[in-house]
Amino acid sequence: MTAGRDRFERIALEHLARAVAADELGVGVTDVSATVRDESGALAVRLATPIAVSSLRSLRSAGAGGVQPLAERLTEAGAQVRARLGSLTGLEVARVDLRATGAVISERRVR
Amino acid sequence: MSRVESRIVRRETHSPRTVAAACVAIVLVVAVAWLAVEGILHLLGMRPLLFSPRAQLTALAAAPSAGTPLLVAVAAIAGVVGVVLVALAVLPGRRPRRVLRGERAVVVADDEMLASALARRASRAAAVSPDAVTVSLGRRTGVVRIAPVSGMRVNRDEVRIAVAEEFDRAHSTGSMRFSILVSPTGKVGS
Repeated sequence: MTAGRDRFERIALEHLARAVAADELGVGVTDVSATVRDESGALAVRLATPIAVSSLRSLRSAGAGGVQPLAERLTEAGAQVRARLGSLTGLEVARVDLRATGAVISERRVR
Repeated sequence: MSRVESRIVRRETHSPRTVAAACVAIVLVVAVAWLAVEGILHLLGMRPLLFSPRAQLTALAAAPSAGTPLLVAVAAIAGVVGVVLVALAVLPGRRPRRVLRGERAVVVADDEMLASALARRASRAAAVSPDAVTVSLGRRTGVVRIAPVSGMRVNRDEVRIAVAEEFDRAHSTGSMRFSILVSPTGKVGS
């Protein structure tokens, strides 16, 4: 018999989801918004977040070969967020819905 | 268990029918006393209280021609009263209590108290908050309803075992079968 019971409040789960998503997509935590709700006994996370992209200038210099399509990146990030949330909290995360709301140019500015 | 003890247990676990019995007795006593008084007054040649015996009998004989609504109303009321009294007499009238085996004393426990103990144990076994569990006890079966925490599956067999163990610890006479109902939707962060 354990001494107590641990639980994650909804707001904590949402903050965690925001932090993980921000880390995955390379944006600030405050740019991401998250809602967590129940889906038949498991967690369902909905994220609205901008996504970090390289600037077109740097793309031109890098060539078209090494760039991952955005949709693919979103799918991958969703799966990553799901796995990391699950392993961090120990809860079952049924789904992570990602909605890209904008782009953040992530290349370092010219000084 | 001695005779006194089993009598006490019976009194504690069954609803008393004293009120109904007393009401019926009072009504009968009043009716019979009134009839007797009317008879005596008639014999003594004095004025009747309400109706003389002769007037009573004629009123009784004229009852079938009293008009349908009145007859139906009287029949319905009499029927309801009769059914209620028969039910009170025949039904066991068990209260939601049960006997626990004690060593030196007779112990009768409210089902409510037992259910709350079971709910606390079930909430610990299922790792949910105590508010998320409700237990209702029948005589031979109990139902444990659990609203799970989102993302945490409740192991129903574990809960069943824990609840049965807790019930056994109460040393109740008689056995119970528990069914564990886990709500399909969980609550986030509860």
